Formats: sequence, C-alpha cells, structure tokens
Amino acid sequence: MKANEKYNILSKAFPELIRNIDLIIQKAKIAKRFETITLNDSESQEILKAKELCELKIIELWNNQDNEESKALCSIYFDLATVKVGKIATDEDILELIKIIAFGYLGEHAHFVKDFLNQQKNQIFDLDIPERWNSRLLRKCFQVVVSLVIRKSWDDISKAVELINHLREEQKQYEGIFLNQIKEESQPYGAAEIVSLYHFAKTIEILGKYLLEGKIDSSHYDIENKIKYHIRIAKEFANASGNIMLELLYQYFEAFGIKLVRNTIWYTLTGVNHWVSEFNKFISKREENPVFELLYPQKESILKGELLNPAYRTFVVSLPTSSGKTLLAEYKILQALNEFKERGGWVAYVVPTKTLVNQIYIRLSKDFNPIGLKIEKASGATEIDGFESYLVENKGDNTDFDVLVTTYEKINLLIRQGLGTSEKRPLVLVVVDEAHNIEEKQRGLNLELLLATIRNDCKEANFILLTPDIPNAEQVAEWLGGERGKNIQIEFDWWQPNERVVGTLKTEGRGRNFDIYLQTLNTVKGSYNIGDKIPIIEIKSENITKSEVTSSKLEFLKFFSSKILSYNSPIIILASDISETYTIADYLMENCNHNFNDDKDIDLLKKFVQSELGNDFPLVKYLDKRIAIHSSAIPDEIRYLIELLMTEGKLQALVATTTIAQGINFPVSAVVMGSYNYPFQGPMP
Amino acid sequence: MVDIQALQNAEVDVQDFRIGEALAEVLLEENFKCRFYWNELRDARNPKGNKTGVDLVGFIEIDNGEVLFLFGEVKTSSEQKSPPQVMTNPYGLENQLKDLYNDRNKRLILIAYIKNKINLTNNDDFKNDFAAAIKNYYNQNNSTYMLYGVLVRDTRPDEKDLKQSFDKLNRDILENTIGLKLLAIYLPISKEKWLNIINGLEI
Repeated sequence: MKANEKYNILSKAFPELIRNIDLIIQKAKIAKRFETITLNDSESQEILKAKELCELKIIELWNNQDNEESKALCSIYFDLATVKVGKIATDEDILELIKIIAFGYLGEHAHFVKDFLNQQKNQIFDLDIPERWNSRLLRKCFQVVVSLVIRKSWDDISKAVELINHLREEQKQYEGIFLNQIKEESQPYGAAEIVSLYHFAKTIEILGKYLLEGKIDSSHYDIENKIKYHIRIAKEFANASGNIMLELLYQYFEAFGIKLVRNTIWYTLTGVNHWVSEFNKFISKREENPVFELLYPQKESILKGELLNPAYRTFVVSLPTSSGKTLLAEYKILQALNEFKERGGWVAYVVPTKTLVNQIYIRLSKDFNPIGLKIEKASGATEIDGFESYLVENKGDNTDFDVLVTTYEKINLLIRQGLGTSEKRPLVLVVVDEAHNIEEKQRGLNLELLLATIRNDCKEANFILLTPDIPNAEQVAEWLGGERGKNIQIEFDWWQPNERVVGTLKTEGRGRNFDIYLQTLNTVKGSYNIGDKIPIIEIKSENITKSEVTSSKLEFLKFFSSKILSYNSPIIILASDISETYTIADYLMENCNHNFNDDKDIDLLKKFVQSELGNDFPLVKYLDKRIAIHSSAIPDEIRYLIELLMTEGKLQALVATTTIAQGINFPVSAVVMGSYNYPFQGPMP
Repeated sequence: MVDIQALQNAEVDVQDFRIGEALAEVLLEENFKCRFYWNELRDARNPKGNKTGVDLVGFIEIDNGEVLFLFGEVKTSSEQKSPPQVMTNPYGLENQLKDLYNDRNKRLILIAYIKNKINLTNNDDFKNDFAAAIKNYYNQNNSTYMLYGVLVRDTRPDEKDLKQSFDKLNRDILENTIGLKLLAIYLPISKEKWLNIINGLEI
C-alpha cells in the first residue's frame, strides 16, 4: 500500500459517506505551500466529515492499536486534522490538539507531530490561562505536553517538568477559590474534576522524567503501568464529575503516553552494551539536535529487524530516504566496536561521493568523539599529506582510528594494499551507504567488487548496507551473508518521512493570461497514475506570454521557480548542466525584489567565495538574494558551506545539477525539475 | 481550603433532577421508539465545569424505520409560572438544545463517547443502531438527527410551558432534516414526595 492509497481504508470503512478524499487531501497539502490554492466549502466539509468518521473508526479498533489498519487510520486522521487548524482558544480545542498529537504518534508519524506543533507554537503558548482552577490546570498541563513533544534540548524537558511543580504551588492559591465558587450541591462534581486533572498532571510529569533519564525515579522502570494507573484514576474521576470530554482526552492521552515511551531510545536500547548506553546518554543530553525518540523505521529495524542481533553477519536495511538510516548504522558501529575494539577492530563507513564523506565524517565525529571514539576520513583523489600511505603502512597496524569514512573506490584501493586484513587491526564492519548504487552499471560493479574483496580479505568483517528500497535486497543479503544475511524492510510502506506530492506542471490559457497547474502523479509500483489538476499560479497581464514561457523547458523552469520563490519555503531547482545553473540563478536573482537583512553566515560565505573565486564570481551576488548554485564547478569546501546554509534554512533556492541528488538531506518545500531525464547513468536515484 | 477528599467521600444525594431524567428516559423508551444503551451519561451539575455532557444520548427510530441519533436535555420544575425558568434561563433547556444544534464538536464528543461504550458492551443492537444513525448523521446532503427536550412537572398541564421555546428553536434550526421535539410530563404527585415513593417509604 502506497501513501496515497492509505486513504482507501477510510473510504472502504464508510463507502456511502466518503468519496474522493485522497484527491482533496493532496490538494490540501499543496495548498499549504502555495497561497494561491484554497479548498472550497464543499471540500472543507468533506475533510471535516472524513476526520470525524475517521475518529469513530479509530475508536472501533481501539483494542487493536498495533494492526496496520488502525495505524493507517491514525495517520489519516493526522493528515485530515492538520489540513487547516483554526484558532486554539477553548478547552475543546485542547481536546482536538491532544487527538492530533495522539493519533500522529499512533500513526507512526511522531516527526510530523513535532513539525505541526512547532507551527502552532505561538498560538499554543499564547493561550489564555484563566484563574478558574480546572481550566487553568488543563491548559497548563497541555502546554507542558506540547513542550515535551517539541523539545529542542534536554533543558526544555527539564523546564517543562518544572512547570508541573509550579502547579503544586498554584494549587494553594486557586483550588479553594474554585471550590468555594461552586454551589454546594455541585461541589463534589467540581472536586472530582480537579482530582482527575491532578492525576493527568502527574502522568505528564512521569512522562517528562522518563524522557530525561529513561526511568522515573532512581530505580523505577515500570513506566507503562504507572501511566495506566494514573490515567485510570483520572478517567474514573472525570466520569464521576460528568466531564465526558476529559474522559475522552485521557483515553487519547494514555495511548500517546505509552507510544511516546515505546519510541524512546531508552525503551528500545537500554541494556544493549556499555557503548550504546554512553552514546544514548550523550545524544539525549547534547545541546544540538538531541535524540530522545526513534523514528518508526528505526524502531522497527532494531526490534522486528533484529538489527543488533550478532547472529546475522549482513544486514540490508531498505528504508525510505531520510528515515534515519545513519543512526541505525551508528548503533551497529557501536555494537561492532563493543565486541572488537579491544582487539583493534575498526569500522569502514563507505559512501559514493566526496560530499557525503564530509557530511558523514562530521556527523560521526560529533556523535562519537565525545564518547571517546576516533573518526578519520580519506577521500582525496590524490595523496597530499601522506595520510594514505600511513593508513596502509604495515597493513594499517600503525593506525588508531575506530571509524574510517571514505568512498567506495578509495576503500577498495586501501584494502588491496592490506588495510584491515591484519590480525592487529581487523576490519570488523563495513557500512555501505547509498548501497542502491550496486544497481548502477559502472559504480555498481565497483561496489560489487569491493564487497567481494572485503569478504575474501577481511575475515571478521560484517556488513550493513543502507539503501532506499531496492528490488533485490534479499539476494544481496544472501550473497554477502548466506543464511546469516538479513534484509530489513518496514512493513507499512505508506509510512512517509516527509509529506510530498509529485506532479508535472502544465499551462493553460493564452497570451499574457494563463494558469500554471499541477497534474498530480501517484506512483504505483513504477507506473504513474495521473490524478487531479490543481491550479497553482494564475498569471494575469504578465509582461511575458505563455508561448515565451513554454518555449523551452529551461524558460519554463526559470519562470515557474521565480514565481514560487519564498524564503520561508526553500526550494531546490534541478538544472540539467552547469551552465544552466547560472542561467536559472541569474533569472531568479533578477526577479527577486525582496531585500534581505545582513546575515553573518551568508556574509562569511560571500567573503570566502570572493577570496577563493574572485569578487566577480556570480555566486557572490546570488547570495545577496539568498540563492546559491551547486555543481561540480564549485569547489568542495564552498559546496559544503552551501549545503550547511541550506540545512539551516538560510537559502530560499538552491540551483543544482545532479551533484545534489545523492543522499543529502535538506528541509525543502519543493523540488522543481526541468525534465524527467537527467544525465544519470541509468535511472534517476 | 476545601477538603477535596471529604467531598469525594460524601455520598451524592439522589436529587430530584435525577428522578426526572430517569422518568424521561423510561417514557421515551416506552412510547417513542427511543433506545438508550448507556445510562451513565449525565451533565455534571457543575456550572464552572466544562459543559460537555447532556442528559440523554441514544437513538430514535422514526416513521420510515430509519434510526437517528437522539440528543436530549431534561429539566424538572415545580415553579408555578409558565414557562418555568428552567426552560428559558441561560443554562435552561432552550439554550442547551440550541447549543447542541450549534456546536458540532459537542455532538462529536457525545458520539465518540458512546462509540467507546460499544466496545465495552459488545451489544449487537447497540452496534446496529449506531451504524444506522451514523449514516443519517453524515448524510451526503444534510445531517439528520433528533434534538429532544423533556420538561418534568408536578403542576397543571399548560401549553405555554413549551410553546415559546419550541417556536424560538424551530426558527433557529434551519435544516428541516434535524428533528426537534419538546415534551412535557405532568405528574399528579408533588416533587417532594418522589424520592420517598421510589424508596417505598410513601405510597
């Protein structure tokens, strides 16, 4: 089942009531990116109806939360409910938000929940906090829940937990007033509601503490029963108070809480080995991008895929792009080092491009240096500093790194010269990133030869191949590992690392008035289904005509990209060659009227480009408009800095050749391509 | 400070409104093809609380055999004036029904709430009624359901008790697919005696 087909589950559950919801959802998703698109009234009504029915179906399957249908419905609910979010002002709105959070988690899209809450952050934290104690408790608790989900650092969680403590202080001030305000006959009801909220608050506090430490107090690990216990009491008291909204809210919150616990690195990876524990402590406490939770494919790989089971020598991990394969590789590396480090064992992390060598080297250094592991890289085509001869001296016996990051070709050379083959410094694990290159003609052969060489020369070596879905993953696993080879795939292929809509752009109209619309394409096993026509831009009295715009793919690409340029929603434009990158970037720059404030990172890069390539190099002026180019014509260091700026969301457009296409992750809102066919060898990655 | 624990331990007296609600439920079931499968649902008498509950949530079978959701409120009054204030005051029956009509979310909470109870009871009639009611509620053209208001009195019957509120609500509810019924029940026994009669202490 592909992502767009999941909506059929809902249509099938209510055949007479729900129609065409998949098309409306696609339109709604595009509407989030392009202001020009809005849903009409009947479409909005359909979404609302589908959302309510979806909730009812989820309740029907409540006792089977782990089955695929149930998870898919939860993820559908999340999609439907986040299409358009109104004002968050009432306690009922909080119930709706808790539903979105819970169903997002139950639908295995916790990463979307985080993005969504970040967008709503201002509304949520500006929520009016009344003096009325019951509402005050509920709203403050809700804000803490949101803080726990969107936390950026260890500190954020700790502060959120602190807020629950503040409520204990406030209790003295507000509780009595609240109860005294209620007529005597109603007091027991009011009191019951308050008691239920106290247990709710307690549950949140427990969750926060567990996120921080992986346990509740010094020895208590049985968090799920704790959560269930407090929620059961909270529900009983909500029922006694007659507040059925709270009862529902607790029901959803409990499911979220348990899911959150099970997603944590603590739940999945406690007690694996010393290195993993140290690593987990470090990655959860570090300032930058702390990790507390695993993504769904990561968890599945470790638990169901038995990734850390040493009985398997080879793993082929076939997961969608950006589902966090690198972290999985890191755990695997730690496992290998735990076993072999004392005997001099080391790990090779091999990637297809020099850009990736740099990216992975930086990532591994950041993650592993603090726990005492040493990372090296080797990528240059020519030997400059004698580092490589040092690598192969005495078959590498003089070296002391734990992980070497390098390209397929380079490691091949090194191993042929003996690196990794000695008893003192054996190669114990090879991580092959972007392993789908094995399908490609030239590089595939290199990679295949490399793996065969390693298998022959390095007796202790295990393999982990990271790849987006490849058709022959099973065979590769078996070729390298025999019976001890395992292919890891996730069961639910509707799972998506990001929300995307694929389509082709077309024009309709004539002269200076025309529309550009998107014809959506749904990929189903290699073939395309043509979907809805969704108008994106309406061109009125432009000083360019439709025939000029559509005279060539390049003209169209330039024109369209300039129309959707926006700093808040960065795009990547794929050019077919180096010269096109300049043509497109020139055009975008000329047509961008926005003036940007100074940014020290941008200025730094500008100065660097000026000193390396001269003041007149076009990239300098592009950067003023937050546009950059990326191709083999740009030196590695500059390319790397551009990638960094893109990752940080400081560029509004990156015009690139296919250099950008392999395995690099950027937060972009759209990728615009001039053609289906790019000069790749073989099909496009 | 108020002792919450003490409040929790205190037995809640069976109050007159509870008797009115029970009576309304029985009468609707006996005479109007209404079915209530879950009776625990009561609007908290907690004016500072969230007003999410209603007195009655169930199903009603109408003339053509279709089954609809029924959302209802029950009020009890001995007041001599007609209509009594429980019909017209801000928390009165008229406004409560108007609220139910206007607030789609409130109705959803009620529907979700009883949907949950199907999982607990595993009663097939409950399931079938729910499925049928859902079809009408989410009808392609117009949502179809029933709003019911019941007034329980120990006074002389008087049309004026309901007329004003009915006319107002009827004007406010725009869709002709949404049913509205107001019903007044007049008991010949004064309210003060109800509880004792139920407990067999008085005949």
